[in-house]
Parts: sequence; structure tokens; C-alpha cells
Amino acid sequence: MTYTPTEQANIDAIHKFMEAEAVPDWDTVYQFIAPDCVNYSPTGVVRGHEEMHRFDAAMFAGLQSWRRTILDIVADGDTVVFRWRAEARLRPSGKQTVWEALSWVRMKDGQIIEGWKYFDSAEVGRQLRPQKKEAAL
Amino acid sequence: MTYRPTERANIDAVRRMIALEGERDWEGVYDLVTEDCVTSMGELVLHGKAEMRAYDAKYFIPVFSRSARTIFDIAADGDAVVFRWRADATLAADGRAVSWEGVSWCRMERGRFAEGRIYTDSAAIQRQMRPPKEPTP
Repeated sequence: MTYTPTEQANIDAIHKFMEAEAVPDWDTVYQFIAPDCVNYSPTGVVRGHEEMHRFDAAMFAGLQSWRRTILDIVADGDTVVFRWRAEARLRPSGKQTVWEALSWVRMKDGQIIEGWKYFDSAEVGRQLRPQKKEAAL
Repeated sequence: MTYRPTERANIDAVRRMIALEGERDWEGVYDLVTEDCVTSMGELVLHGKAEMRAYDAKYFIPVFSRSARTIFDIAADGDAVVFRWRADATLAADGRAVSWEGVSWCRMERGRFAEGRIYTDSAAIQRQMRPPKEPTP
């Protein structure tokens, strides 16, 4: 695989972004996101750093742990697409959830300027629902 | 964007497949797929062309009287082709129009589809497939 220097830099940026997220080191994570970045996903549209901070705060409040692993990545011009697996442990139940998703991002100057996340919200929803308690006899 | 001849051929194969789907030329579509192609969408995994045919014959072809996908964006990298698309379809049962978006991540072998992963939100599709509620008197 031969990438142009920009494509290779974009791939490297995504790997660093994911490493920072795993720490989590949010200051570094946000260095890879343009201030006016727009992110589309089945759960809605999030625009800019401020809305992203609010979204992240709400999401991570419900998680004990969170880790994404890149399964595959391709770069083409200003586009990077990567398949990933998320492993999360829910708070307070400690329930482990795992799902796969795909991110399609457009990059400029080493930052994500637009992103689309694709995942099956039905599958994720099933996993996030609290487990049913056994009915008392 | 400079593609190698193989990447260009892979992009052309994707566009040909999408055009054949729109014409509902299913045999033309299957000609572009290897015999042992593995297709997955969430927890559903189809092994080989025969399983793909059986699935389409039961769950796709009779359900939609019309269906066509439009490619928004396409990226090619080595033997991988990834494309974002919107599907517009008409339900055979009642003529309602439905649409959904997704990404297909394909691995190609000699111009044919050897592996395909579809990332889409099945919840969005299911919501649209439900019969409309009768107005309350």
C-alpha cells in the first residue's frame, strides 16, 4: 500500500486520536478535531467542540470503561475510513458491552472536519438496556 | 486523486453493481460476486453466493417493488473499496417509500466482491417498515 504523505499523516492522526481516547486524554483528543467539526450518527448530529464536550460528558458518565480498537483502516485523499470495535463497561451495573461500527471522516491539516458514524442502534440499544431481573416466584 | 489500475477497476465494479441493483438485474449482480463471498451485516453473516441468493429471495426482492442505491462517497485503497450510500425503496406491500443510509466495506478479488461488510442502522429501517398507525377517530 503506498499512501501520499497526506494520507499517511491522516492515518497516523487517527491512530493517535484513538490512543489519546483510550487514556483518556481529552485535550489531545480534541487537538485532532477541528473546532467547527460536524459529526453525524444514528443518535443525531453534534456540531463543534462545545456540543461534543457535552455529548462526551453525558456518554462517559454512564460508562466505567471504554475502549475502541481499529479493525481496519483505509485512506483516500482527504478521507479516512476505519472499522472499529467498542468495548464498554456500563455504570453502575458493570455489564460488558461490545459492538462494531464504522467511522468515515474527512480531514484537513491533520484534524477531523466532518465525520459520519455508522452502527446499528438497535443492537447497541439491546446491549445497553438493563438486564431483566429474574421474576420472583 | 490518483488510483492504481486495480483500484480504478474496483471502483468501476462497485458502480456497475449499484447500477445493476437499480435495474433489479440480480443475476448481473451475482456475476460480480465470488462463489465463496462472505457478506455480513451486524449479527447476520452469509457464506457464499448461494446463501446470499437465498437471503435476497426471501427478505429483499419480494419486500421491495423498487430499490436503488445512490453512492455519496467512495474510497479505494488496495483491494478495499468503501462507499457511503443511500437506499431508496418502495415497499411492495403498500407502496410506501422508505430510505436508509449505510456504508459497505468490500474486499475485491480480480474485480469481483470477495467480502462485504454493511454498516447500517437496522432500527431506522424497522421504524419505516412498520405499518402506519390508523388515525384515531
